[in-house]
Amino acid sequence: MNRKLTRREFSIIAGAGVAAGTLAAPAIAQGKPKLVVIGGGPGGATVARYVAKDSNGAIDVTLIEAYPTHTTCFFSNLYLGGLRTFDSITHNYNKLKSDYGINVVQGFAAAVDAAKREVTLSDGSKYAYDKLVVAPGIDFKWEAYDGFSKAAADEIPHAWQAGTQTQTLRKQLEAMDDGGTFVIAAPPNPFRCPPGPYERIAMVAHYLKANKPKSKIICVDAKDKFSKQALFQEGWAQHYAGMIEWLPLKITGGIKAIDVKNKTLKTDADDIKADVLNVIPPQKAGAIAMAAGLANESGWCPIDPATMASTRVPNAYVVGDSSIAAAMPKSGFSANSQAKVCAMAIRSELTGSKMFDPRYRNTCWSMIAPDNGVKVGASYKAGADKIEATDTFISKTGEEAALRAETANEASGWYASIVTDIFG
Amino acid sequence: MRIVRTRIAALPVAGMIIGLAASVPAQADDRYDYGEYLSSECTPCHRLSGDGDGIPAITGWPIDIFVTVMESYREGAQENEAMKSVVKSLSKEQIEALAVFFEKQGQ
Repeated sequence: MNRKLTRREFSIIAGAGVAAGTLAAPAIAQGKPKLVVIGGGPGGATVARYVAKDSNGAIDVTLIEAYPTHTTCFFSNLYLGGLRTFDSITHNYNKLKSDYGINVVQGFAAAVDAAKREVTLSDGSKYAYDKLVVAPGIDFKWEAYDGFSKAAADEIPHAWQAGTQTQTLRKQLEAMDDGGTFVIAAPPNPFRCPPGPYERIAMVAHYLKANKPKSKIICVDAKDKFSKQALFQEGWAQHYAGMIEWLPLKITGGIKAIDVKNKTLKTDADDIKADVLNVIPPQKAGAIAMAAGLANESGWCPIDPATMASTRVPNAYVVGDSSIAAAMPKSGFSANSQAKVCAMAIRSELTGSKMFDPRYRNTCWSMIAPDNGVKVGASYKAGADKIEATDTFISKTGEEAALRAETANEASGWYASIVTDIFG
Repeated sequence: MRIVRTRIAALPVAGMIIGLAASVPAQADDRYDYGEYLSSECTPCHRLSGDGDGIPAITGWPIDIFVTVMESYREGAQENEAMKSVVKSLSKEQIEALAVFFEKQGQ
């Protein structure tokens, strides 16, 4: 790792003398055009892989990622439920390096200088680019609830960025006594994975039903309705009768404060005491997207719906959860889909390759029980100023068990495929 | 790494491998390139390796079979909602392009 960084830094420093004082295409002047991708999740890794794969070495691709591995948020609820191992949802970047020649740099992108076309990492190393993709996922609005903070997440895990947080939550559930109460605070819109909190409720219920059947689950929601609501509520009643209580905004008035020490949510109505408390905070674009000026006043990043190019910063693109993809939900599938349009646009800009009509798609599978899966999805097109849905579908309540089992099996097949599509 | 046959010609080393590329019938077919682009909408679920569990493999199918199966979703003869939505978004020409591309994969 250190050797690679040093070599990389050297080449950039060596090239900098040539390019000093020139703002126009400094990296192109040094040879192959350079793409720098910040963030190695479903959006960023897919852009890097598709540009490298389809340009056959004509574009120099660097992927900057803070961690050596990526644990997918999708299917992390299945880990909580005991349906998946942690290892099975954790992926490395070896193939992106060995099979696609991508320069994977482990580091934290701290700043973007759009005029110089340069990314600076927290260790001071710099990476020049011709095109930049920013795909940092989400960050949290820690200040949203009195008494809450980033430090509090060590005790009250959000587990909404998968990894050690997810493991912490699982350990807390394992340590909870039978008869305990798991309380989950579901965030306001927009947020990563709209059906995710409700799938989490089902998966935690699955674990508790088998291991601690006297336990209860309470969801304090910042909304009055949610994704796949009828399907989840039907499934909760069918599989986990009497265990789950969902409290919409209109009942609690929302969370006013959090007593971290006592694991208690304070609402306009009652205080809600938990044995295991999972607060999924309100969200905004990842920190580097904010620092780079890519986000607008909403806290998310506006894009050109035909290319995923930023409308605020030249030569920069935003894919995945940080982007304002309008009708597309913030999901791994969406990020992967947006990444392919983005990769095509970048190749077209840098090498003159053909630009086809952009196409977007999303499908979200959710697990209610091991043999009960449901899904929602849509086709999308690039409208004049935003991405628009052209066709949507959703599983139906009352479907036969065989179809639900088939959908659950389909979800498993999708996982195996999409991680191959993302990480090689 | 799966090298895209039709783009090999654009590489500096093309002279070394152009003979190989020319021996692939899909080389001359514009539909292959378009199918390859469209296939990126399929690969989140269907692997190019031909491996399939939970979601069927669709590689190496004869073109006419691929087209017939896809059209069967449009006609309602098959029920999968995700596939019905996919097919609804595709023209006949786009399905043919996908068929041309997928026929050559996983072999």
